[in-house]
Amino acid sequence: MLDVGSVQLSFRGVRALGGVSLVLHEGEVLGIIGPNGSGKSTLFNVVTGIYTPDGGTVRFRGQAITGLDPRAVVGRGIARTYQNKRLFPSLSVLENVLVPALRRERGGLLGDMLGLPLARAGWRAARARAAECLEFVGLAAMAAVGAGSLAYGQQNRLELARALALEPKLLLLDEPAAGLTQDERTEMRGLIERIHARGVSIALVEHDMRVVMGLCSRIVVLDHGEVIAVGAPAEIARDPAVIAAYLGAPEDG
Amino acid sequence: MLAQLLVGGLGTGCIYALVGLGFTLVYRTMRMVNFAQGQVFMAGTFLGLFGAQQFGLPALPLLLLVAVISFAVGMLLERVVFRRLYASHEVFVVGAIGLGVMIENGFRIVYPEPLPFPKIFGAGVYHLHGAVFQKTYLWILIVTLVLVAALHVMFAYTRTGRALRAVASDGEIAATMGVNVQRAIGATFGLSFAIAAVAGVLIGPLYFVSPDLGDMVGLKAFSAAVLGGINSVVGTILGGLALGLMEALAAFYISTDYKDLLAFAILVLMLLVRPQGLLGRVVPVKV
Amino acid sequence: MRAGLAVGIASVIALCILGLFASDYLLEIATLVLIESIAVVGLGFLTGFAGRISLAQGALYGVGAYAAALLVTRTGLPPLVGLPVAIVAASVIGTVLGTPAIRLSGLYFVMSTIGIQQILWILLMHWSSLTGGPQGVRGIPALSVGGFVLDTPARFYVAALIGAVASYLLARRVIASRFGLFLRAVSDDELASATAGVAVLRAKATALALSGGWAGAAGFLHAYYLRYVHPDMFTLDLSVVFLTMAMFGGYRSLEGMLLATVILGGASEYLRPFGQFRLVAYGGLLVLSMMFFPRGLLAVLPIRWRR
Repeated sequence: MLDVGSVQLSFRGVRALGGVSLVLHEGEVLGIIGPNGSGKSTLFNVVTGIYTPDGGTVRFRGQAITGLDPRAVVGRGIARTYQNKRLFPSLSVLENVLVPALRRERGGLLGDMLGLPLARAGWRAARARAAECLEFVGLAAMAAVGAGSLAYGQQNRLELARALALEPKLLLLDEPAAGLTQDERTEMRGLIERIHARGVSIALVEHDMRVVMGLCSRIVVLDHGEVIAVGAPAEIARDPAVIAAYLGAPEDG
Repeated sequence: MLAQLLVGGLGTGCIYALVGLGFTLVYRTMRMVNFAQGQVFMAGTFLGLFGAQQFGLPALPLLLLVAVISFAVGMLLERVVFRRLYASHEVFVVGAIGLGVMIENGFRIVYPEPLPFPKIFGAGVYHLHGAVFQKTYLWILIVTLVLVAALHVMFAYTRTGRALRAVASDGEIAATMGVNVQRAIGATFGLSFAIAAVAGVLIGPLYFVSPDLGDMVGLKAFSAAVLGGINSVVGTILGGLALGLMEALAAFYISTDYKDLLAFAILVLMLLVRPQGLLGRVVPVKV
Repeated sequence: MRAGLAVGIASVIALCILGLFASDYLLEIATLVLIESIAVVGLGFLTGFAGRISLAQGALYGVGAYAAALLVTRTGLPPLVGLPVAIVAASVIGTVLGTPAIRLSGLYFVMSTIGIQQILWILLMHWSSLTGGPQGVRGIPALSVGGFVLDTPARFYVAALIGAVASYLLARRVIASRFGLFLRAVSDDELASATAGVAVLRAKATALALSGGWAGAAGFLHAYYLRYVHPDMFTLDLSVVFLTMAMFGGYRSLEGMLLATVILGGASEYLRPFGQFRLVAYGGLLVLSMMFFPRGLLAVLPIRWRR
């Protein structure tokens, strides 16, 4: 489904990604792990079009998406969450999810101003979808609250709801469990499983090994911008190169 | 004729360079644009006027006095006004513009009519390759060179200069190295005020002075700084000189009416095509 | 919400009563304030909702005014045709000049708008064959709407009132639309908006077009009110005034902008005999509000009272 081929990226002489290749199959949950600074978020940024790589290609469902801008990538069916929560603080929780939900609805500014039936139908559909996403992540009760005043764990879930509202085929999750309490992590795991059960393919960047091991069928390990191991969770846990890269037990968020 | 244009253009260019330096110094340190800079320049002119008329001060002491007073005022205003505007770029820009409006109209109340400026540099006239120019131009050129050289020496070789550069490059690190960041920022503002005010005195004898001067010169010096690179000292100076020369040539060969347009067209074009200026470096933003 | 509606209707009624009983002098001040409010609301699309400061609104207001003035004095077309022309002219010029700049960071964008303001002013002043140059355009006839001629202060006041109310109501609909939502999202976090599927550049360009259109409409009224236009009416100073009004009342509150326009515009006209002190006060107000209320006055009120 997702085919990353020898992607390279440097920032002002500092190499962030040095020929990273990986494959994500339709319907799987792929884990991407590695020590801090190994390039995991950078990889996501390249796939979602925030950075254009210096070399290599990214293909999604057979079509090249290298260098497309973020909105175009979204249009192809890829959604993402951000490690450092990029919510819209001045909007309410519901409005945060309405923004992506309205994306594919008919009617624009003019339609809204004139009160055209098509435009109003679009809003109704978007509101329904947004409500459903909020329900799914358990934030339905907070719909009218300002996104800026949410607790950390709730922010994570809102990020997720926003990505879901885009109805993606592939979901890129950047440390969804970071900063969560133990209970919240279990909840998050459950949410991700349910999303997967709906047929969404997932790429998961995470530090918490329990989350990764439990959810992922395959894991890719990055270190210093290169892939150092690929395989099933059990193999990875035993791989000497991986253990060396981490120098012991991984951090908990 | 060409020589005449070049001399005139070089003169105005030096002024743009000096006022532009004020923008650059503040931008390098705070990443903010002080749009009151033009009015500071104008205030310097009137301060010079006052000093020359009331006390009959000769050129050199007058320049020094204006520099010192403006430096102090710059430090004071940073402490009292500018410090509270650092919330965002937009807030700073709008606040600085407001300050500029206050200064300009404050001076308009005291000096409603354009006034002649005493010939503090003497009434002498020079000839060079068919160009005739007042002694003032020589002073402008020399003082600009002296100031630029002095600034360079200060930044490169003195402790204060290195402290200022450290703050400009990274305030937090500078603080850990024992630099009094607040005072360095104040000094930067003081310097930018002093240089602009001195430029104001230099240009006085050339024209009738009025509070309207500040706006146009300020905006054009700003365009010049953007042209050369607002975070590059060398760039700003070259940008100023270039703009001065281009304006002089445009005024003669194209039209005097539209010569002002040149500066703003350059400003807009540069911002669209290469905002960091011809000699500036891009400051990358982390996603 | 009910309270807001009541306040709104009460204000309009109060303004109508004002129109019936006020002196001509007071009507003139009120008319100018109403006209300016239209330009300020337009600017508000950029400052409040797109998060971009523009110092070109004065020039775009002038473009609208000149478009209306030139159309009626140079062609035989009826005055009212000038309204759509003014709106389109200001909107198109604002969009064409502003769109390349709006993808720049906020600081560079402000700087570009200053350049655009000055360029437009210079063109108005020196392109004499088109604009009449330093002479300006004189002899603009009174605005006539279907035989009804607006040539008294009271009559024009009504037109200005209708214009201001229409501008406010339309603006509210714009803000409530999906475009308004996208714009707010973009001003919060541009990158996140793009990854949430918002066409960021298109949203910003639309905001530019709207702010230009509003400025054009206000300019049209200005031309027919003063019956004379001159470049010095549309300087950077005016842009600064508009900006102060847009930011002073609370950066996302339309009501706040209107309130600020009334207070500042009214005070400004009232202080006009005091000449330069008025402008010093303006500058001081601008600086002080940026120092202490960067989000505008209404931001100080508790959340319950704001929209």
